Amino acid sequence: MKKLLIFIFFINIFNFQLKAQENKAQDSTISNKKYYALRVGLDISKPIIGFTNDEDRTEFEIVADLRFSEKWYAAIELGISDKNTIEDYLDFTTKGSYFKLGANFNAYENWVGMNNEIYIGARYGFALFDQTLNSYTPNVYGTYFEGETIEDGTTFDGLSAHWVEFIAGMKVETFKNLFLGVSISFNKMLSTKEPENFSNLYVPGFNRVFSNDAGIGFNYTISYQIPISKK
Amino acid sequence: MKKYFTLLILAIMFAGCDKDDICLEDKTPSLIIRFYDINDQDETKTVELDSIYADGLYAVDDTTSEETDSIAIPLDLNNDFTKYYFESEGLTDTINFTYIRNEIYVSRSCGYIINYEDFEADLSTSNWIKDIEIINNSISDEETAHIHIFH
Repeated sequence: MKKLLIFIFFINIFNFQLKAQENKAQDSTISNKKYYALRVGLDISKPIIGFTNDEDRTEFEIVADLRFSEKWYAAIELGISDKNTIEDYLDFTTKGSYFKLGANFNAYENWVGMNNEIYIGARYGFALFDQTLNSYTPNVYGTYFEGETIEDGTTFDGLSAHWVEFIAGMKVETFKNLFLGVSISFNKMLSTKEPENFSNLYVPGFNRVFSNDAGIGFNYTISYQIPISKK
Repeated sequence: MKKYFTLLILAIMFAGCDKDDICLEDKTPSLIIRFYDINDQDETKTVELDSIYADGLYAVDDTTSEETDSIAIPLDLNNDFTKYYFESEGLTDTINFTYIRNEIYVSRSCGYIINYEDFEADLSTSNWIKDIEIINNSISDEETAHIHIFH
């Protein structure tokens, strides 16, 4: 799985460099001031991870961004998630949907006619979800008495979470108007509505919630820029 | 700009995530027993244990041929009762412990632990154990004794 991603990633970089070289030779008089470009796409890493992972995991995310100035892009991600998590003493399923809203700042100096990005960004994220505690095994010292696994099945519904993300990523125009993008994010939970006598250990969009309320995210997107003729 | 970019990457790397895969927090507490002198009920009195074992099980660790005035034994976390046999100098006594189990959520790695409420003990024979006294009927930690045994 990892190997595949690394492979795709490097092809991307290779492509990127190729483009850079091609474009050097291009005419530098073409105006690059075509702002207000809308791009829509989807995260292809999530379905792939869903297929290859042992845990039951179905996630889907669509992404969109709108360029509104030379360097700035407004960005949104919408997603749904249905994921089973198995820990040593717990087995639970998280089901829900989320959105993330924010902006990206493109730090990459494009050659004239190019549309690539190396960006940093920030997002506000919000998720609505349910947690179902499938089963748990009470934890005890030693082996004199060992806890028997209890099939619980309790669903905690109406849960929610707010968080912020800091993102770094890149987008490369591979074909005309078709972009491949990769990004990583560092997430920090702001507040959550926690289930009673349980905890939000996984939140749709945020992913695994570590004990210090931090998390990490990753996406790999294919997006299409809708051509809008505007000079 | 490049500077900020590097800074962000470093921040992501070092801010990191707390390791929470290994259970280091509380586990289900054991029952703490202290042995006291029947004639002078404020004084602890050591006991020569042959063994302590639950009904149908082997001897609990550290209870065979042990001279001690306090011992920790686990309670059955799958049932609302545990029957224990206490053997000392060839004599055996039986105590039935009953309780209500409460599941308490701890963390990702530890999952749930059991706390015992409404803890009661019933001494059914009195060969060497003369009396018992429950000190704390809620077993949620192992700080102090939950029950005193007089002999």
